[in-house]
Amino acid sequence: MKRVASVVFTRCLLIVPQVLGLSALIFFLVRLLPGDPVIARLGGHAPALTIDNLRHQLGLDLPLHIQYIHYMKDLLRGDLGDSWTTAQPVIEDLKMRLPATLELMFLGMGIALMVGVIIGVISAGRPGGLLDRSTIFYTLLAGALPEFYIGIIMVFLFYVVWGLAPHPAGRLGLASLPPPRITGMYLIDSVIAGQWDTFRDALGHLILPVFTLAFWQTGAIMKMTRSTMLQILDSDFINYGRLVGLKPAIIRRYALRNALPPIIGLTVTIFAVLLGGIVLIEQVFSWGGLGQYSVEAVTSSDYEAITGFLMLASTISLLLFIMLDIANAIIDPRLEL
Amino acid sequence: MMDGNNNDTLMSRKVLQAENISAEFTTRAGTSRVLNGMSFACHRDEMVGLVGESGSGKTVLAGVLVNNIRRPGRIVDGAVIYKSKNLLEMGEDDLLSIRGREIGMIVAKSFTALNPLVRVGDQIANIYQSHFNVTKKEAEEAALEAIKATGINDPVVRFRAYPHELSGGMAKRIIIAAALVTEPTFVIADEPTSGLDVTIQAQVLDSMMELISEKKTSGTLLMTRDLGIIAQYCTQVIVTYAGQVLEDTSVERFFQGPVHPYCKLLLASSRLNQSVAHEYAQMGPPPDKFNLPRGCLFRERCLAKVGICGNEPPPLLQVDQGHYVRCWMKDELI
Amino acid sequence: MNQVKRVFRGFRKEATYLIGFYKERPLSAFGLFISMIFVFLAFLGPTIAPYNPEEASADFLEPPSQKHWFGTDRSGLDVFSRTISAPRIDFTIGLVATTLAVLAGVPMGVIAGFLPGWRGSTISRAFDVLNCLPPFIVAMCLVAFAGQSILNVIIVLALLNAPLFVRLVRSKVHSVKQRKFIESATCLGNSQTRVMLHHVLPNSLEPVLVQFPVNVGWAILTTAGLSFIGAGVRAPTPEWGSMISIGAPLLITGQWWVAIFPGIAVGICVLGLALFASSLEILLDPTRG
Repeated sequence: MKRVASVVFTRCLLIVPQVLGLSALIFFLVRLLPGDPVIARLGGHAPALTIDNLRHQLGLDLPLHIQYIHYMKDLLRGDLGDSWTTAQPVIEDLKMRLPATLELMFLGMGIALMVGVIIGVISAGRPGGLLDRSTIFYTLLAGALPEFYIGIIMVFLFYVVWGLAPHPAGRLGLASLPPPRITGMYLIDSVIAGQWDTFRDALGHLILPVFTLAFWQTGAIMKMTRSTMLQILDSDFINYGRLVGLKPAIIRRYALRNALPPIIGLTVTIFAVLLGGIVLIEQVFSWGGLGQYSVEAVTSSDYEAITGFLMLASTISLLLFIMLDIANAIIDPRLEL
Repeated sequence: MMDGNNNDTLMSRKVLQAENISAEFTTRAGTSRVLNGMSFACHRDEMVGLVGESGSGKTVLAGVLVNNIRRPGRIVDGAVIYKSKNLLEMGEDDLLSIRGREIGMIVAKSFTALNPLVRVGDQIANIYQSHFNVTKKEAEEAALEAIKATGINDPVVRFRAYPHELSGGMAKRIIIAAALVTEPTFVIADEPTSGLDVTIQAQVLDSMMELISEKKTSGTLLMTRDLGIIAQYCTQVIVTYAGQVLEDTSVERFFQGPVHPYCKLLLASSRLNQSVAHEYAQMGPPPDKFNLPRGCLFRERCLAKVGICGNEPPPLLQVDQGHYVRCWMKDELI
Repeated sequence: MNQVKRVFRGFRKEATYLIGFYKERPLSAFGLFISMIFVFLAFLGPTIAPYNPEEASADFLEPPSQKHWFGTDRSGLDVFSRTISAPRIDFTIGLVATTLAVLAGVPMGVIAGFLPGWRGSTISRAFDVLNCLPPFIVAMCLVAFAGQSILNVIIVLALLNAPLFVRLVRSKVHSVKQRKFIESATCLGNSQTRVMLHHVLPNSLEPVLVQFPVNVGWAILTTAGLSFIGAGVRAPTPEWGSMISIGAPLLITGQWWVAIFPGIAVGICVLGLALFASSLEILLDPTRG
């Protein structure tokens, strides 16, 4: 217990400098890029006065480090600036769209983890068997195809050819209205409001993108779980358990527990990859979440939106890494921090 | 085994008997025969010492005796008779009640045998609970008692420790505790002192021997490379080489003067007879397990060989009461 | 003369071993074969293509036929020619970007691995913060702001991949350093620099070699993704990702060939690279497989 407490304490202590470092990194990264956002907005032919005015208004004529200080001050108040494209505060834009992305991510990631780990464990129990070889084949395939292509194939098969899925544009059909907003996630909100038609509609629209996400990532999880389990099942301590007649149930428990740390590590890696993949999948399905938002922001040179989005995405990643670090420290007593 | 009467008593005194055990490992590089027809018997109240060079298959044998072999190994022949049943023909469910319960196992590599993520006391308790229908608390108490009995420092602290927090000697004692907590009938101790400092070796070995005699174990098989340990603790010695038994006799007889050429060299070099040790080393390595030679397996390094040694592998031949040698020249070498 | 003969004989022995190695592993041989095909296409793709990949024609939206094996798109561009010309962009970007990442990352990894204690791990921690930035999104931003050009895509991908190699090399150097033969090399009187260059470095490069084709594959997928959302290579340059994005809306109206074929090409290319990488892994580490 003492050890866990000290791990949690150290990691949390590190959050502040890490977030500061991240924010500086992101801020300067975005500001230092070539390309002038003012000119991008007004066009190259606007009169010089207008350009200067806008530049002054946006505070872009100040030295860079002063701009950073202003930005951090605003950040601490929760103000991420206003988006140029939507004319809304960035923080509102992000809040609006976050649930859509989270819904997609939780479901997709959750399915990938469950299916991947379960099948990985089973196929490690029968190496060389039919299930095992099929999963190896599937893993190779899924890892080599771009995620947006998988999404497109899904649309092609399930919507165009077989007509099973609804029109792949957005989270709900054209005729539906979203349920009253509590979490922003349509599945949960429609259940809370008792709107079963909306629930079915939202579910129908969720199936393809979630399936795309899961299909894409399950392979990697399967492969890693399988190889970790094989390694463990061949290890000295498992063999010792057999030599001294440990109950098979206990041996299984040992094996699963020891397989957790690498799987947790893999989840961390996958998450970072997932964030990028979500952007593309949201594009394919016109999802209206953060991914699509970021693409629009980038293509229209919306500095505030991009900076705000990167801050959010990175902070979520950082928090996840810390949680997983702590989980690892709890499970593996050899790790010190 | 000529005398009928003696035969009966001898038979009933056998606790564990290995008959013609052969095992091989098949890899991409070929098939390696690690055990080649090993036969020996351990009797009641005897401490049997099994001597073998590194790589002679001692650890494989330890597992095979309870019908356990690691991939990619295969037991191809033989029988292990324990309480009139052949363990090599038993099903997994029956074996579960023998392994760790009737036949205790002290393994060579103690650190890696322990699950790094579980406290060692809990691991011993798990073993205890696997064999006896008790509550978790009772199992933990039994485990703690077993740990205390090994003479380890701060047994209560050690109970809650993780494997990486233990020193080599402590880990060994934990393994000993784990083997003896169920009060087994027979104990197999594989290299119980390997990897330990010399000072610790003596302590650990003494603790182990004390416990074994306290628990009234019926018999022990001690596997080692160290002839000194055999001389000090064992009553019977079995010398193995290339997966076979070369000589099997009582410890007194052995240290008076063994018969087999290999054993003579062994004894001489362990007595720091420099020139003999040098000669022995000059002869090169043990036979290639992937490609065993015809005839006697020791032929390449033997000084006493004759023609037949290259053609016919010698069987285990009796030299005397309870003394067996695998050599065609046995009569000349006594 | 004898020296030459000796080297040659050694070469032949290695070659025979390699041929035997690949003969008994059909999947790995397939991977090697595919990788070589795409290298070939990277050089000669546009040359052997039946049509000019960037020249529009009047045959638009034709399904696959004798005349156009993979059909044509909305501007009459031949899909087959574009598909086999794309490696010159995609594969080259992947190769160059990964090479640059290795050239930048490996030295830093070696240095970080060598610096004892806190200095080395501080470098690692600094790079860890970089980990929080989702790579694809950063790539998207950087390329969009820096301007869509092949060079920019290469630089951005190299930057994003370098930390991976730093980490890889650092941890390998760390474990090689512990091994006994390094200790003996130092005891024998070798200077630290010599130990580092002559003994540690060659033994630490193995994971880099294995990771290399995997990374090229990842770079290709990322390039395709960037182009798909319009933040990568510009049309009408033949590039798999942008071809898929052009073809995506056409899927719904039934002209499936424009998007499907380039996707299959990406899949085969990346698959081949992955299989090749795993064969390298077995080759370089004789205890596996």
